[in-house]
Amino acid sequence: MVVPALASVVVLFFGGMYHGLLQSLGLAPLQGDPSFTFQYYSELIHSQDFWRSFFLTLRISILSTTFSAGTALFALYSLFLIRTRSTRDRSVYFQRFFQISMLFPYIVAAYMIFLMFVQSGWVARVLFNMGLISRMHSFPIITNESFGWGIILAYVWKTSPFIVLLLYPVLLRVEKGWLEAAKVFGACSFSAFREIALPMMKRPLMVASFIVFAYTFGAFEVPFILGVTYPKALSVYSYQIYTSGDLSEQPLAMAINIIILLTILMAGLITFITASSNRNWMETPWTDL
Amino acid sequence: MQPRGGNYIMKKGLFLLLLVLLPLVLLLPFSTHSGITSAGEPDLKSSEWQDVIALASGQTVHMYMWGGNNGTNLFIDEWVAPRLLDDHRITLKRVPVTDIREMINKVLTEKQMKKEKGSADILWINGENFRLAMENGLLWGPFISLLPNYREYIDPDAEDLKYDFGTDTQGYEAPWGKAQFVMIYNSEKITEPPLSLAELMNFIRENPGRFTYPSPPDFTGSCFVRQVLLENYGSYGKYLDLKAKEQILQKKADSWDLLNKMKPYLWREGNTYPDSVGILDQLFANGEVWFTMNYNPLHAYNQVRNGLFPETTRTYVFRSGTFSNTHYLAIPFNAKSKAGAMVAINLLLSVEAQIEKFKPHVWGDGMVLDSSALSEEQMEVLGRIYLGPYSLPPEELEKSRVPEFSSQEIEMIEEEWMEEVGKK
Amino acid sequence: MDRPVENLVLGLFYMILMFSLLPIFFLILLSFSGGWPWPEIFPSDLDPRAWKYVLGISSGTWTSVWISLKVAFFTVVIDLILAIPAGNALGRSGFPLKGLIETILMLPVLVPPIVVLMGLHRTFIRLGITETFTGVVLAHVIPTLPYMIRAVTIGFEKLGFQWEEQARVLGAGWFRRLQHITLPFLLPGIMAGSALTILISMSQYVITLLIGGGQVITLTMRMFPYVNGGDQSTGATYAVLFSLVALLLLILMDLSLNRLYREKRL
Repeated sequence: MVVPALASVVVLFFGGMYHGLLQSLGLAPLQGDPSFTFQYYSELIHSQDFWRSFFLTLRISILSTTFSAGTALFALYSLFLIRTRSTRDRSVYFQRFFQISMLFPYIVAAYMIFLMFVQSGWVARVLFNMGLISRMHSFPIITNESFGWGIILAYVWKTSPFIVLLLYPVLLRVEKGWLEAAKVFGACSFSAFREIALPMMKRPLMVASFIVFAYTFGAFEVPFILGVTYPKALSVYSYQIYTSGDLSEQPLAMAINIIILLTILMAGLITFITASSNRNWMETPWTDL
Repeated sequence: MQPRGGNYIMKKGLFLLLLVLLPLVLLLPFSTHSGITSAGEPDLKSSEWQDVIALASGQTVHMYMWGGNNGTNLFIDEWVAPRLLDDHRITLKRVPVTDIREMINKVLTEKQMKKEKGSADILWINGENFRLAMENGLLWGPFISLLPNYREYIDPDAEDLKYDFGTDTQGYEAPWGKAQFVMIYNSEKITEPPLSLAELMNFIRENPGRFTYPSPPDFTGSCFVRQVLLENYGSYGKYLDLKAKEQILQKKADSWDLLNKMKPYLWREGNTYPDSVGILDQLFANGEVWFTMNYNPLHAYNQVRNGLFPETTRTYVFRSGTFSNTHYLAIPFNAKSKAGAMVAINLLLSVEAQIEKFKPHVWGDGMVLDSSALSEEQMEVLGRIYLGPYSLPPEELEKSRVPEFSSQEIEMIEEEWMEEVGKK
Repeated sequence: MDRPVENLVLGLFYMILMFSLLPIFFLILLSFSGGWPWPEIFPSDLDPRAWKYVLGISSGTWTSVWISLKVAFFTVVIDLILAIPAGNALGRSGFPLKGLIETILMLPVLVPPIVVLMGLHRTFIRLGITETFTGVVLAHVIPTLPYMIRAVTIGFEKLGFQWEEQARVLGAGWFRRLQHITLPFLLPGIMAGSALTILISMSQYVITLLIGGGQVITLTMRMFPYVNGGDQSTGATYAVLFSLVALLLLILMDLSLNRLYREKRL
């Protein structure tokens, strides 16, 4: 039953990674004989360029994930308020509305952020016309700067709706009855949210955050448009090596890909461990009701 | 409670089998490509042109070229393609590309994998991409002397056509258009453009944040860097001299020094550079910087006409001259429609096509034609094309043409810039 | 936390929603602008030339829209063919190693497609499917399949076995069971999975570029050179067009789902 799906995934997905792995270890060269070697990995480890790219990408991913989760939780709390305030639950419409940015491919989103937040962009113009800044140069640099703020902004804009999408069904499971009970005990809606809804969301939140981390760590198009000359995000770095025309360097690109993979796996492991250890803690609050 | 009668399992089993087979079936019809070898192809190189035309009839030609310029795209789609279809029954398909280097890499991989039938029939390339392609045997040719329009209208001895950034084209790529590096500035902010490097440095120091250049390996940015080198060498002749005497390194070091000294007065204090000339253009259009630069001498005219640059935009060249190069069309070794490609390229070399392409509202790209081969009428048509105050007249440009450095040299320069300037 | 603070929170939330709309608004303006110098907030020079170019036949836009839709459609079809039996097993049965298999199937979500496809590129070349429509579709299946499987599995979970069993006991033939019981349960999942698949497929650029090699020219392929340093108005126009197409598709799917539910009351 699952065989066809499983087979496709194994062949296509794992095949691709496996082949990349082989190449990175020198076992599937385009020219010459295969020979097992760690030289490409060693080359990367000794390369300053690589480490700069690695830490840049890591930092961007961690910050993006954190801000995205924060924004999502804020949005969820707002939806919670909307939901609990009136008898007709209008929160669904707002939730859908919040997801507007999911419509656009990352390329378009990155482009939009670029156009809006470049120093001569739209936001700067509004501020200028409002008298808040006196010169174009006074507008802070957000796009194409080495910390990656533009990239983070684009990621948060696109991924917080994703987290909300995953967590919203949990919100819906909070029964009105519990909230009534909570109110009877004098709890305001914030505590209700914190004590009831949040713990329920903890696990899916971790999973969602991990997915966002994994995505932002390996994504290509956004840092390509909003990043700087140097250092480049890992995936851009890898792609440029792959398409540089120097075939002997392709295993380097594959090695970078494998390292991207390993980092994501590590993050996954960490998420898994944290999520499991939290399980007991999560069950208690609402069984107490 | 799961019913598991024998029938049930059998049904699911068959279903399963079908589903496993289906994806494989979908794969099959498309795997028969690689069998056909070039042995079956007629020898185009020794055919009569009439035969080439006959062979090309009915073929589809895929032309891979940069896709970000509406003028260029429209020229190909609306002027060239219909003519090829009507006159020769050739379907021209323009494939928009972000970076032609990706295509070179693709053909390279295809060569490694011995793929005899490639997807590209014409590649719009020059410089380093051409050198790479030649080094790896990716192109088919030599073919240009087979094209009637080449023989009739193009000077085979013209050095700036024969040598592509120092590499002998050996007939493997047909010159299509010419470019020359020009500086563009906003005359509202700048009364006297800096005609030399020293003047530019002064200007930048007095007006910080108003100048920058695209970071190499962007082609235009790389050219600016080379212009700096050129001025330090003195002239192209002196450059050759210095090279022969192996005294270049000191001059190079001076240039990196200069560029580093320039940094704090650049846009963003030189902490980042626009990644492409397109982005620099946007900064210029928005007024963030007061200069931009371009390999198309008519770029300023085009952009003003399109309302993207202010009316006060003007063009100038450095007193020491600016680099001028040619861009070409080549045919990959594994092109499927070589005859069609030849006919298409021939059309693009015709006087009509070259003049049309030169018209500023179409594209404004320089012509590769030998003016001594043109008739009086043709010369008259040329003279009627208005260039406006935004761009320089052709005579002035011709006076300042400097041949390009070799692509190896350029590659080295780009790497050195990254090390000496970009990363610091 | 009392009422006024809550109102503040909500106010902020509504503001954020508004800001989400701003870039879209801005993009539309840009697509219609001739020139837009600083510090204008609204372009003084409105000129539909970018739209004229994009919507004109010569630019190849419509062909690309069609191709993008075709690729997305076939990706959905193949995804469904693979996902439905898988979802059936995952959602309704237990079997050894189920957890492991589930994890394996979900993995492509976490790994960037470009990583996988660099490794797969050569294999695709050997199989002769690069630069073909089929190759691109297969490449698109990789990042989209997990989502489809997930969506369909949920549908099967809800379905369980009992409804079909009951119907069978009551004498309904397999076709009627399919029509009135199985499908209504599965359809929302199928729709959701398909919508997501279409969105992801249409958004792909690097994969289509790598595997399609320029022969399969989707809308994103046309858009990218403009976004990366080309004419901004045209870039904005393509972006708006793309979003419209995606929006239209999603609305269509939503509507058809609602209509289906109204007719087949559960």
